[in-house]
Amino acid sequence: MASHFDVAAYALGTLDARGTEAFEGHLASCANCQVELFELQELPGLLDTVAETWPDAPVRGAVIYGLPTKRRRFQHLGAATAAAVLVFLSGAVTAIGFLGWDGADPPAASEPPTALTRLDPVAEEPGGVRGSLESSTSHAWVETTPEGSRIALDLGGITGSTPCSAVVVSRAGETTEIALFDPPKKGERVVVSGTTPYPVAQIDRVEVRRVSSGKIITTLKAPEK
Amino acid sequence: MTERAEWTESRQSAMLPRVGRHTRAVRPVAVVPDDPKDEWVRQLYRQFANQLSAHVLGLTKYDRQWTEDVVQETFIRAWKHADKLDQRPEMLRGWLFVVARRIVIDTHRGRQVRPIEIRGTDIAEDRVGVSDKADSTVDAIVVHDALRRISADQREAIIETYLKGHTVDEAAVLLGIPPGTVKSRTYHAMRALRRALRARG
Ligand SMILES: [Zn+2]
Repeated sequence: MASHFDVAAYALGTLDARGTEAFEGHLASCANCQVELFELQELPGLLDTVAETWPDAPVRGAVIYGLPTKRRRFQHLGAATAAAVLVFLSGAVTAIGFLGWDGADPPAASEPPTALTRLDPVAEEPGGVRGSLESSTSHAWVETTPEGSRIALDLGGITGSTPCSAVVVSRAGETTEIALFDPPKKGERVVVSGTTPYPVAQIDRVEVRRVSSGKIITTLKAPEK
Repeated sequence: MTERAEWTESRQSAMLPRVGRHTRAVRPVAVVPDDPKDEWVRQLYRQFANQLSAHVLGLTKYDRQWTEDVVQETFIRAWKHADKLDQRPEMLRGWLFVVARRIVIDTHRGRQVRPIEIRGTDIAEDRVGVSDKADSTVDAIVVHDALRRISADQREAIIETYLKGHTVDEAAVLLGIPPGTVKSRTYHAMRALRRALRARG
């Protein structure tokens, strides 16, 4: 039978078909293993890199995480204070560089969201920057993609030690989780991004929730036009 | 340049219906029409297909066909485990998301046509929170370093399975130890690598 220990082999994909099925049965009712999988999910990719040069060290700057040939920086669209710069690859899925934070302590996360500016619609083209959302501590940039929209979040005031999720709520009340992440070290900000099936105009807000309790930590809201 | 080609395709697919509006039935429903699990998996599909599709699209870099296949396979597996699945929404969602990621990676291995990296940028996608600079090469160096420092037994478990492409059972035979031991050593090794990454801060 599958046990908690199988979670690492499952994350690596080294269980055979029977072992995989057995573990997925275990995972069906084991919250611990679900959380562990989220925590371990970056390791297979990093081990791929390690494997390329093993036993030598990976060559710095070589490879895979290939920087875009064409970059576009997101402008700070709202009253942005964080020195976060999001670098998007040409088109769809992207890399993000977090270049720093201006050093000020972020305000407490429990403050109510403040009003923000929604940009006027620009041309309906993929990759177009379409809007921004804000709370008192955080900013979000939204762009159009062929599938809906892509949202990058620069979050401040996220505390605690257990995983959080960023959930996009549409105006129709549907939700899409776009990112799962660990809270950063105290006083630091965290940058996450993800995609939604909703067009920009249908996005109502982004909620950052504690995964374990579902409690909303902060809400980034767009006002009615 | 592969990037560009894919992006062009994505633009064309903008004309297709939006994600999550699939009308196609989940396969098991047709196979076993009277099973009470059918209605359950239909409801599950209605509740989560949208967000799961959006999540998987990010992993497949907007490959719609691949995404649909992965989503469908995920629900088929959910159907298989219907009796075991904890019915709380967060548990169901968590299960669907992690299983779908597993399926994406596994199906990617068999797909030579369209190279995709479930690493680096994709990881940054979901979990930039763990690393300030999102410099995955540095992360790989940290993992390399940690892999050299963990116990020989644990390192061997990782190398004989993941790095050499063997299953746990195959590695157990090669190493002359029980499969359970391979799995627990793998587990402790992975936790150690994860700790090293977190400690990098
Ligand atoms: Zn478990």
